[in-house]
Amino acid sequence: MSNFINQLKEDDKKFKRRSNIIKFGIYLFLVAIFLKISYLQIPENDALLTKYDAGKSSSLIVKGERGEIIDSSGEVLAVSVLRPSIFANPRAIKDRVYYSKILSDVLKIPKEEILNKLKSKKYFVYIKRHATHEQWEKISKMNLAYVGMQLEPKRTYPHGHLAGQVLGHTDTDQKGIEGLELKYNKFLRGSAKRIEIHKDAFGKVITKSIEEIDKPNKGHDVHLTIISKYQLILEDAIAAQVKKSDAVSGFGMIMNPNTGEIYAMVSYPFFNPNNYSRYGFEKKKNLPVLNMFEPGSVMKSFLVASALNEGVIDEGAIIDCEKGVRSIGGTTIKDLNPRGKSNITEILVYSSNICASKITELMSKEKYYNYLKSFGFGAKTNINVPSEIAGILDKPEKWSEIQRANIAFGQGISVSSIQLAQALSIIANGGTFIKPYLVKLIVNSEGKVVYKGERRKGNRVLRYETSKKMRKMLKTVLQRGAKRALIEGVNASGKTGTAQFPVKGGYDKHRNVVSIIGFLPSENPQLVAVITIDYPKGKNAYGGRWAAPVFKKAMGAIWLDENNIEKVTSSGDVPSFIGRARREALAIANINNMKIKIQGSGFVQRQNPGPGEEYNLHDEIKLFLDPGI
Amino acid sequence: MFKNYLNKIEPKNLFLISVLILSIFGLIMVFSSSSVKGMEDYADSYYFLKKQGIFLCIGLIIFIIFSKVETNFLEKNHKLFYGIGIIMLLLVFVPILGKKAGNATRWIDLGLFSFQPIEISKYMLLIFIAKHLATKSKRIKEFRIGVISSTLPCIPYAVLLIMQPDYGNTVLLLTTIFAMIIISGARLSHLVSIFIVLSCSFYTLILMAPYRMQRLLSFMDPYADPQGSGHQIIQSYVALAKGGLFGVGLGNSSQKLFFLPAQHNDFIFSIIAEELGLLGSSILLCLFGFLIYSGFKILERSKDLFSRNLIAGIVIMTSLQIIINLSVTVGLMPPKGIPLPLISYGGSSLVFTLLAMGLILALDKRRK
Repeated sequence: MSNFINQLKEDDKKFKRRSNIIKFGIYLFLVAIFLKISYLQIPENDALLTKYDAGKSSSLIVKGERGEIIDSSGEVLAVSVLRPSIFANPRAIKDRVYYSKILSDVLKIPKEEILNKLKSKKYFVYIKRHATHEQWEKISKMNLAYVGMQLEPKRTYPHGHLAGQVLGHTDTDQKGIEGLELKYNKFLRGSAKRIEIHKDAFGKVITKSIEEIDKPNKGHDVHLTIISKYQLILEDAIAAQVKKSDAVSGFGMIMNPNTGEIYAMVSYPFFNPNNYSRYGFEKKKNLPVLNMFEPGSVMKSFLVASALNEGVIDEGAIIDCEKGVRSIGGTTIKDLNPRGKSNITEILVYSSNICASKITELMSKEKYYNYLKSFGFGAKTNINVPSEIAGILDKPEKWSEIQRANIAFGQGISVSSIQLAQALSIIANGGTFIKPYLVKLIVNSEGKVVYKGERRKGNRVLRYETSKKMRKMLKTVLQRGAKRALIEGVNASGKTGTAQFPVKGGYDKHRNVVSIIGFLPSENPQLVAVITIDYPKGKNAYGGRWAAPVFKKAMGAIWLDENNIEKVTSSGDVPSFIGRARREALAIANINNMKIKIQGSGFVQRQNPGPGEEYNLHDEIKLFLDPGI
Repeated sequence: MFKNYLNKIEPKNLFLISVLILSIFGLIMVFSSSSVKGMEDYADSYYFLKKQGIFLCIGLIIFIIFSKVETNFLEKNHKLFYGIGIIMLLLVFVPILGKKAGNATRWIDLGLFSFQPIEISKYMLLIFIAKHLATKSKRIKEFRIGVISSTLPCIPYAVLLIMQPDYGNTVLLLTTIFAMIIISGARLSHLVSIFIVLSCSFYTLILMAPYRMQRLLSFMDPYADPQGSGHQIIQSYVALAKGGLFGVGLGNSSQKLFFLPAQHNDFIFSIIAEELGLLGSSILLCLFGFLIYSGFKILERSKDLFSRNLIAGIVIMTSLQIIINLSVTVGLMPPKGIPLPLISYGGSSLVFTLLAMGLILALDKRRK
């Protein structure tokens, strides 16, 4: 028995010994592990980290949000909005065909295109940049693994083609490529900043300092002199006429002759910068600035103004128009409406080339050249539209007799609409050169004005009397020569013109470029318009036939609008602001001495208190605006 | 002095506390190391945390149940368990059930969830061997009993594991059984012979495919192929080096951004060492030390042979898993695919480790 117990004790001892050996072995391993950990963790192991630490932070340039382009009435014309860019990890996706089918259905991209992207060996491809939120919502509901989204700013033009060629466009990365977007890129773009980032093994950015990215480094907002409402009116009028006459293009602009502000600048066919890649170079051209053309008879206005100012003729002068045929230096020039002795107004009404040639001969070549120069022809207007050119105006020494005559009636010289508008403004505003401008204000993200476009008067070109005589004369010219341009309720002055399209070695006999230049009201001009239709088809392809109606339609509508500001009735009722643009609403409130509060942008949709309700002094009228175009 | 203080603590309580702290610490680290991966793969940074949290709850319930269970049924049914263990391992090769991951088929896919049968089977074998050694204890010194009859039952398990292939668990299982035989009191000369046979068979296995040798030894010089076989080890070194003394802070690991494969299971210790530094990794080592210390305390006071053998099996196997996993992480052993008990992500490992931990407490009650 004791033997057995002894045996058990012996066994137990043996067990304890063996268990201790194993325990000791295990502890030995743990100590070894601890030593290895200490060896790895205690010394600064820079060599290892520099060589193999791919997760080291690196720096990233983050661009600030791009500034907005805003019209004169507060309407936003260009804005950057965050849109989901949809990406995928092709390496991880197994069922590529299924993925490409689903993504193609939602994103409306050909299936093959997506499949090709998914077959790439990359860890990251964009399936579609700047998709819509609805599209991403649909995709996210499908729970596709390895398909993700990141918000990226996309340049958006809320009004589509409105002033498209003026605005230009940016590329996918928000860099200005055309138009004001290009010219003012350095103001609009946000300042770049460097941020420390961490990337994961797939190169995706994982940063800890998100707030840093959100810090404002937004670009400046650019406020234009353009008034969307007027832009729209002129666009509609030109587009309708180009379609009606089956013309190649139509372009024109409206500006204030007293301040130089450009209210509208139109090129048709339109360009919608939202889909800029679908347009060729030609359609992106801002025609009123970049299209140099022979102006034709509209130039006679400036000839007569120069001659009057110079005193070589007076308003009562009578000149013989030679019954429509005159030979100059071996070349015969002809009039469309042959006449005998005519006064200056008649010469303009019937647009006699012969009499124009006679008038220019009353001045020296240098004299008239200097007048053309001081009207601004043959020089850039520096309107800050990319790649502006000066146009063709030869030096007077080179003028032959026939070229001198040609220039007098608008051939052999090339001008732009903006040059014409600038020159006509001198006639309209009393005789001083005024610089047209498009950018009214540049405001930084803190609301500080960094640039202010101002009325910039230049030298006096015409005496005030000359300007006054010209306003009156051109009024008659329009009344007698271009009835289609006449607007009810306001006197307008102007001159139409028709020129042939120059081709190599001569003119295209069929292609007429027809124009009208004009301003209103004749007595106290507020608006100057220059409108050109290129190549209207059919008979009577003249300025009076095709350009004049556009003038009437557009200027008429705008004039009506300018003067349609209601004065509150003595009863103190609240006027109607409905349908008004921001600028008009402010004007109405100003006239009526009322306080208003504006919410949103665009045109007034609702107001509180409503129209006709009683207005209490100190009340604030709330206006709710919405871009309705 | 410290040892005296430690001796005063009831081993059962120390064991219980170690298990609880380790498993909760594990859950936190699974979240920290898997959140980015969860976001990337499932668009939910809590994905792995949620799954692991559910398994931890299940595991803790099982832990409590098994710590109170009457353990006689284990002894009675040890042959049945042995059979179940083999069947489980066989299921891996059933076409619909088995799930291939990489080059190995180690998983059973039940649709609702999938698990690694070895996590269960290894305990089945331990129960059988524990009982076998207990009944044959008087004749343990005979070569036929001590060596042959104790090691033969391991062969089907080893073969099935090698077929998967899962060398890590094969080594783990055989080493554990070897240690159990040592503790049961087999002759030293016999043990040496087992050791020689085991070593020879391993060596043959390696010789059968020479690339295995190369892969096996690559851990010694990871810089020879930093993009290939050495990648995991180097990235693990980078993680540890970045951690330094106090770590980069919880949740701030950059190695978990997919530089380190299996960052939330086999290599979770690298992330822990990176985020919590030498301080954190030492604390974790101490916690494991307490677990092993108290496990051996419970083993040493066990009275009957079956519970002694089974406790020894479980404690030694768990210790070996800890050692193998950590050694791999710090480059002391070639990569094995053994998770860190109670810490690594993985439902089957967590649940069955907790079950086995519960069994230790249940077996401890039998000494009365």
